[in-house]
Amino acid sequence: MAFAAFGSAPANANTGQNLRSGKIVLALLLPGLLYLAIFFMTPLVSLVITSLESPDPSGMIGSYQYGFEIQNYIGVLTDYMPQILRSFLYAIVATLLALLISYPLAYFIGVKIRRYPMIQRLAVTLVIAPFFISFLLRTIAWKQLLADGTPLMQWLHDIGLLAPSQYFIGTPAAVIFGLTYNFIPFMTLPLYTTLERFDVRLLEAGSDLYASPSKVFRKITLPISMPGIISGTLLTFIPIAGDYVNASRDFLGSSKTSMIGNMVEADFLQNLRYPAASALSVLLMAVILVLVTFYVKKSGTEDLL
Amino acid sequence: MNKPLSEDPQFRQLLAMAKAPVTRRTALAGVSATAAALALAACAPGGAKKTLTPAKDLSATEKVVVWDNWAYYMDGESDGTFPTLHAFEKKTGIKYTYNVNVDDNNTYFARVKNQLASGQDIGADTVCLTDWIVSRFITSGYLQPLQYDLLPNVTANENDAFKTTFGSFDPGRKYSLSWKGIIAGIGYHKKRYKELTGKDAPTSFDDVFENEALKGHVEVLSEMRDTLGVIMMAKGVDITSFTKTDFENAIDFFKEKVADGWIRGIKGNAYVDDFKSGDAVAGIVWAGDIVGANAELGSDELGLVLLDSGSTFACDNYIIPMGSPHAANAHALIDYYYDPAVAAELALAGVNYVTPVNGAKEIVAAKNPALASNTLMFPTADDFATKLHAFRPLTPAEDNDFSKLWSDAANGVV
Repeated sequence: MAFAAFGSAPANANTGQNLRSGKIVLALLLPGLLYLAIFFMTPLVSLVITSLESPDPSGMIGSYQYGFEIQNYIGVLTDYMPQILRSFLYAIVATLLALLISYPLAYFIGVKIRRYPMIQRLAVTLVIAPFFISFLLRTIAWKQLLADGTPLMQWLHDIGLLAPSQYFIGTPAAVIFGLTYNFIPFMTLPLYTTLERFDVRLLEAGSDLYASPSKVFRKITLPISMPGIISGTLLTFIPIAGDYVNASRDFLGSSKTSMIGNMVEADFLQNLRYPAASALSVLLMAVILVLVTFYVKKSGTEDLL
Repeated sequence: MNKPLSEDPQFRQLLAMAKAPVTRRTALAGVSATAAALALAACAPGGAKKTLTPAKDLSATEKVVVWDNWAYYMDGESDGTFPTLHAFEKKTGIKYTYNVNVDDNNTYFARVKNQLASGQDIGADTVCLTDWIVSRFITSGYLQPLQYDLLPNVTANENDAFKTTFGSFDPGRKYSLSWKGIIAGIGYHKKRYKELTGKDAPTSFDDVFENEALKGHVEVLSEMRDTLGVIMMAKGVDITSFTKTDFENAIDFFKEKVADGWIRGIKGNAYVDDFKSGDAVAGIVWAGDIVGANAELGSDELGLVLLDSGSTFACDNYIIPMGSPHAANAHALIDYYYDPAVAAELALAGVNYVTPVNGAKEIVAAKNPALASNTLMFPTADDFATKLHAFRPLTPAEDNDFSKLWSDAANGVV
């Protein structure tokens, strides 16, 4: 008995302390939890409820009543399958392009010009600088720079890259270009923060052991920068899949480049088909969640070791 | 092969916490959190229809009026001086608030729909919206009936075409009055059109939509009624009484032209930039925009033709929502703009849309004869009778069907 009492006494004391610190923890967490409940859980629940609504018997456009219409989900899946597939295709291509462009850039800023902190800081500022200008303005600027009669397009026609009757704005290439451009900083910054701390002596050690430069890259640099690659790709892929600005007909896209976001916009704002728009949003969220979980599991820390 | 568990007490405690069964209390907490979220979500209005009645009119004590309108619709808008509104304030003692708050009928509706449907103040005593959405509001009972005893100028000066032919969605104009009329016709970039086709100006629908030289250089409006209206009329359909088949045929024609790359853009006001830059050479556009763009460019680079087959004509209309607490003030404002002298001042100041006020043209003619003879701003009685047509009102079921068909076609959904 005494044994037991002895054994549990510290535990009890611990619990007392936990209770007190538990309250503090709860108090500290409360604003965050409330925020999540009001601004995340409530809209999410509302979204799911809306996605299951059925048309109002009055037949007025935009009027719906509570229901349980799973058909809404099947409807948007069959209607918008090409747009759904296109969104993920564009997102994958744009993310890969952003990675290919950002990696050397981040390596250069984080490792190569480390000796000149002033220049390094300037370079990082230049990467962030586009953020100071509105996303929409930047996209409109590209639309004007890439319009038919501009010098750049003229040159592309002259060197024969574009046939005389071809144009750039409104093509899938223009949309992917816009997506890549707009999200490059989200890829570069996480890569930069991992590469900035990269110990270059490891590279020397690698070559001392007769590893070729490509082998050093594959066995040392790449694995060490993996956390940056993962967070960078996630930060670009997720917003790109849901983006509706670049692919919009008023920006870089056309009728042939509509993505999921454009269909949500059309159903929500133009057709007033709120349940369909909600169902599409829920589907987009679910698919991204599954893809990301799979991706993080696949490329998780255990694979890196 | 199991490793023995760590003896670290902290680790043990964490493990115990992780393994702790769901107690009644934690379960309850979870349930109540979900219930709270549900309750909040359920606050979103919906269902429950009631008959709305006009809000109590406070005009006698509160000398204010709030007006929501579209961009480029008011004199002095660029510098915020609003000469005609200022004169209104001086004349009546009613303080105005003019908001450029409407950029799309549907998005404006989406923003105010909860207040509108429950008869509350939407933040504007009057707002100018397009025929078809006003027609929806009338059916839903969202609007206050107009009091014509407060509208002497309207009774005296309203153009008959705006009242009857183009007011057919609101018989007798019980709930709405035109602010401006909008013509949609065939717009073209004069120089580029000549370069590509060798001709000076399009004369028919087929000149634009069947001429190989213009393939990929054609843009149309994202406003269903204007684009499909012009297409249907070109195919010989009467848009004041078309059938579902007529509509579907027009959609098929439109889809085909989009699919083969003929129609390059389907846009709202953004099309103007494409016409200015020459990306778009011809297409279905709004006349007022062409007049405005030419004024901005300082030369008549853009042209507009009204096809013999017909152009669409629609109005943006003043309405007074049920929840407006200043209905009498709103009436005073509307009546003020039905004064021919005020309507003429707007036209002279560069508001390039068709005025519903008789007598304005004559006043403009005295000061600027060229402007008064521009039939895009002052269509003749003959134009109103033969060339300009209104898209017929849709039933709720058609409204649902057609807008989905149109949106799918415009977004390339097959």
